[in-house]
Amino acid sequence: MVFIASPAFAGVKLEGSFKLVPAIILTACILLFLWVGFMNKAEGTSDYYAAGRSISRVGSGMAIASNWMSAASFLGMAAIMYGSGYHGLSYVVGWTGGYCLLLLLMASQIRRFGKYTATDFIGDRYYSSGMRFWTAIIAIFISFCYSVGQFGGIGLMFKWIFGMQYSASVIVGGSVVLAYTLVSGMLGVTKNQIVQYIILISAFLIPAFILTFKFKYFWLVPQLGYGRVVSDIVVGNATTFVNSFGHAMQTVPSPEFAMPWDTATGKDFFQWMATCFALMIGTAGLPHVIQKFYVVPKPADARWSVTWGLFFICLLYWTSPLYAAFGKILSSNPEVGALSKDAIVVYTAQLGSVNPIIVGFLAAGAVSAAFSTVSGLLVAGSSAFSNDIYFKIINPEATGDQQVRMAKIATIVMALGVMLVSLLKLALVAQLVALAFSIAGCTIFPLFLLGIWWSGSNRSGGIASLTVGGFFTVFSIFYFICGKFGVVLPGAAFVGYWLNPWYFAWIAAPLAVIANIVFSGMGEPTPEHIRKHLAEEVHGIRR
Amino acid sequence: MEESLSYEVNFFKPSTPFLKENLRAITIGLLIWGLATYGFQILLKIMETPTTEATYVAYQQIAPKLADGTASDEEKVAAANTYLALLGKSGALLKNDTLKTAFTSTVYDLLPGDSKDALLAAATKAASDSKVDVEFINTALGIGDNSAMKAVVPFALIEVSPDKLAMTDAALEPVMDKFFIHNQSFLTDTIVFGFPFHYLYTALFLLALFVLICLVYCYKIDSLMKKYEMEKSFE
Repeated sequence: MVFIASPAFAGVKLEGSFKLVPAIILTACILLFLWVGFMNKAEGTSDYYAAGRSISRVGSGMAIASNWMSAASFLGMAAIMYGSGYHGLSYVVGWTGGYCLLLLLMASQIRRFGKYTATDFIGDRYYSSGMRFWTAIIAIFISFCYSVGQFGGIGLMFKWIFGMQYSASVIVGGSVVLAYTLVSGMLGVTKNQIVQYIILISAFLIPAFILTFKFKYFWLVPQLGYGRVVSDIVVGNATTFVNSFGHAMQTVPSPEFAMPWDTATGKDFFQWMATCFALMIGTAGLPHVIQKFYVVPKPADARWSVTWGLFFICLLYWTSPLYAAFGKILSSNPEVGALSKDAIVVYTAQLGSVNPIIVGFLAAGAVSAAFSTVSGLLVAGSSAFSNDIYFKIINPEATGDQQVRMAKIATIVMALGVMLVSLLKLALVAQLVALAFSIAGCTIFPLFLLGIWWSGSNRSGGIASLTVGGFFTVFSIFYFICGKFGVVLPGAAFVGYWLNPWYFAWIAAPLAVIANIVFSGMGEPTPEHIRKHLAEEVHGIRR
Repeated sequence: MEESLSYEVNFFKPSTPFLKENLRAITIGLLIWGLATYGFQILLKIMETPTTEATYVAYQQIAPKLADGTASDEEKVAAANTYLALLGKSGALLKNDTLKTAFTSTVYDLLPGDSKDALLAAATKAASDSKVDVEFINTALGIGDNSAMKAVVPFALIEVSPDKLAMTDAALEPVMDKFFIHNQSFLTDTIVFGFPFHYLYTALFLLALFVLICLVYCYKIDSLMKKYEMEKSFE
């Protein structure tokens, strides 16, 4: 009861000034992460990459969840549902359903194949250093796009807490993430991710309980309780409550908030399906997600940790639409003005007169979500460079120390590049992240799928598959960037609709699979030692 | 060519009893996953009928009368309410001057003579300050107890000149079609736990189903491992 703030008061401001309490909470969280990182410092190369394989199933489930849930999950999903209604649910479903693919088709097989990185798998399975090089480049690029979205989220929250300019807060927030990824390494990262999960999930759930309780919805399970809010928005029902400005909590009848592919949202049926599918296969192809299976001791642990991970993820995803619904109904008065969609989660708590301390904790949770993901991404990206490019291709004689040094240099270069691009503010947080998924879905996912389940898939097929995926990626991004800078290319409308950067994988991935099959048939068969490894070690076929 | 190679692995041709059972579990899991996710959305798409909001249904009858000046006062009130409901849907619509002109013109037309000047004054003031007294408009439109509609009124006003009123405009039709027609069916109109059913299904149930698929699969594989005594040699 103490957490429920005093009644509404006029003249509140959602933005602008330096906020002391949230600043203290955020600083405390970051210090906690650093302390946990220091207590679990990486020693040696295998520690740096894969944390010594010493984490429990539930623990690595939490690490998977917090590694996974980024600013896009914490802030971005609610933003899309707030703005585009039912279309936003394609993100909710896509980002969870992908784990079924990952578990059923890949998790324990990847663990049994026994490599450290996604690139390692592809390089060895397709016995090609060219493939190894290009997948490493793609892995770095994916981590890069994904991080840009995260830095955007970190920037928004630092701006909200410290009242700084967006640019300044991207630089400050980014530097803090960088510093702490460098000192901790991956053992620190995994332990940290467990702590980060607990912080981010409590930060996200507490205001949900408060909002449903305050406004007399079914608060024991807020994830069910907000259903009536959705119906109230659709019908335009009157409520007896007011927001923190004293505006009545009621919308005009707005079926577009919940009805599927509503014309008012500008998104149609095809876009829903394509986005959902692209996000699902992207999930199963993201290097930093796949990499998590190497930190568990056994294949069975890989399976169970995915299942735990998915459950922990769903705790947040079940709750996210609640913020969109309350955000909608609490900000309906035109006097509130246009809100920055990506911060709607925090604004919703403020508009609902949730205690400022809790709101501060919520903002710190958002930063925490972005932190855990960025550190995982920086490790995935830098290890793709130091392990897969530097050690395997450039300097096979390199010592462990040299590798770790290269990994650290790569981390710094990547973080600086990400900061620069974040300052351009190209798109919404969740959309930037969706781009990374489409790339992963049409390049890495098809290679894993066929690589694991068909021994006939060989180097020629792999190269063809990667070429198709890579071509669509470059093509779609090229059109998008030209569009952003006002250059109209032929067929821009067609490409913008069917091959949009957020979901072009819906067609690119199946084509990559077909290319793999067709060209595998034309090339030299897969060498026997690889087929033997695949059959015996990965699938347990003994003769 | 395939047959001549040893160590073949093929998703569609499992070569050991373990793989056979493993692949059956995977296939069933994927079928449920695919049908539940995409099958339901396709069903939603098949069942849907474009459904027009009541206020717009009424408006479509009134619009021609507004154009030729034969609309009654009740009809003008109904039309103004429709404009207001549309303006309240999004911040972007509040920038649509044609729509605001139609609203303000209609209200001007239906108000009694002495209130007309008050409206013009309010519209002028509202351009710079939303704290404007619009109670007489709320009363005239019969929205005294609808706070969502009342909140929009100050933002819906725009300066009009009494000799050039435009109570309706052909340009409004596409905007209204876009915002007032929704894809509905019994799947969206049935309320379960307070939710429109399709929303509950997609936002909550599907996620729970995903967790369940994973859980069942984990148990299934663990028991397969025991059955074929592969736990030690394989895991």
